[in-house]
Amino acid sequence: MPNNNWGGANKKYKSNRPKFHLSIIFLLIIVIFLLCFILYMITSQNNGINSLTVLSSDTSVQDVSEEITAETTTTTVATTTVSSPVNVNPVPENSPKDFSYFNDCVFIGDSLTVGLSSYGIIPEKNVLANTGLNIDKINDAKIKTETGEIALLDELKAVNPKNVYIMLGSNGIAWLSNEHMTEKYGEFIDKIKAQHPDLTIYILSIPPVSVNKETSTEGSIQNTAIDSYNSELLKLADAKKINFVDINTALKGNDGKLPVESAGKDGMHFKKDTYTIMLNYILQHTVKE
Amino acid sequence: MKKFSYFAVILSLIFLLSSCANKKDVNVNPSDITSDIINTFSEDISMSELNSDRITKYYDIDMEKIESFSSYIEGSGGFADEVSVFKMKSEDDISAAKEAVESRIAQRKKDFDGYNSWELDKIEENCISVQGKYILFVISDNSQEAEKIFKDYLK
Repeated sequence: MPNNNWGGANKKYKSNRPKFHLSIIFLLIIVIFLLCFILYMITSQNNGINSLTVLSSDTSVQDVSEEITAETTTTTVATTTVSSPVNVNPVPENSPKDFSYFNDCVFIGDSLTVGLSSYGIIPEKNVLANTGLNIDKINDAKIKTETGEIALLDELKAVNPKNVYIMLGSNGIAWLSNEHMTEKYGEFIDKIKAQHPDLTIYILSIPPVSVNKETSTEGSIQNTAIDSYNSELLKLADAKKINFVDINTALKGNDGKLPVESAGKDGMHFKKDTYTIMLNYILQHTVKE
Repeated sequence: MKKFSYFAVILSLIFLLSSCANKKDVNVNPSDITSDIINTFSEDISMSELNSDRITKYYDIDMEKIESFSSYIEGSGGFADEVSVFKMKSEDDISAAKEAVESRIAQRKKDFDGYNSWELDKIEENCISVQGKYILFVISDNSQEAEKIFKDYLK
C-alpha cells in the first residue's frame, strides 16, 4: 500500500512535467511574437507610413499623406507621436459636437453665410461674409467689422479660430465655369493654409435651390449645375487635403431640390430654421482637431 | 395807432405762449414704431432684430448719443430690407445718426453692387425722416407707408 501510495504520487509528479515544458514553450512563442511585432512597428514608423489609399464616396482615389490615426489601430497610439486626422471626404458622421463648438469656428462666404449672423445664430465676429461675395472677389475680399472695413484674411488672423468653414460658389455658378471657380477657390485655400498651418479647413458644398429659383426669370440656377460644381469641390478638397462636408445632401428634399418652405421668396436664401438643419449636420460631421 | 401796436404785441405774446404750451416732449418707444412698420413688409421677408451688442457692426454710431433705438435687418442675407428708429439724446445728435445712416446706405450699395440689381433699386429708394430727436431709416418696397407711420406716431 505505501508503495502504491508513493508510486501514485511519483506518477502524478511525472505526469505534470510535460505540461510545464509546454507552458514554457507557449510563453516563449508569445514573447517572440511580441518582440517581432514591436520590431515591425518600429521599422514601420522609421520608414514612414506615408501613403494610405482612401476611397472617396465618388469612388475617386485619394492619396492621403497622413499618418494612421487612432481609429485605424489602437496599437499605433502608443508608438506614434503624431496623429493627424485622415481626411476622408465627404466627412462621415461622427458623434455630434455641442453648439459651443462654433465658438472656435469661423464661417466664410457670401449672402448665404451672412444669414448665420444676420439671423443672430452665430456671433458676428465668427462670420466673415459679404452679400454678393463670389469666387472672383474672395482673394481680395474686405469685410465690414465693428472697427471698420478690413481684409478678410487679416480678420481671420485676428479671430484665430481652430476651424474654418468656407461656403462659396452660389454667386457665380450662373456665369463662371467650374474650372475657373475651383482654381480661384484653390488659391484662397492655399492662402489660408499659408497663414494658418494648424487650422482645420472645411469646404461646405453649396446648398440646393428650390424649384422657384430653377424657374426664376431673374437669374435662374439649376440644381444639376450645383451638383456638378459640388463634385468638383469634393475633388478640390481631396487635392488640398482638407475636409468636405456635404450639407447639400442634408438640405435636399425627396425631389433633389431645396424644399420651397426652407427658402425665402427667391428660392435660394434660407429661412432661419434651415440654418438649424445645416448647423446640426455640421456638428455631426467633424474631424478630430 | 399806438393802441393797435400794443394790441398786436399782446396778441403775438399770447400766440407764442400758447404755442410753447402745446409743444409737449414726445416720448414714443422706437420699437412700437418699427413693429408697425414691419407689418407693412412683405410676408416673405424674414426680419431679425439687432440688439445693442450687434448694432455697432451695422451702424458707425456713438452709442452714448442714443437714448433708445429699435433696428431690424433682413435675416437671410439676400435682401436689403431694413428699418431703424433711433431716439437721440438731443436734437443736436441727429446729425451723427444721419452720418451713420448714410454710411450704412453706402455699405449696402457696395454689398449689392452687381448682385440682385432690383435690391439696389430698393436701396436707392430708401427713406430717411427726422422728427425732433427721432430719426427713421427704412429700405423697403413700402418706404413711403413706413414714413407715414413714423410721422403719425410723432406728430
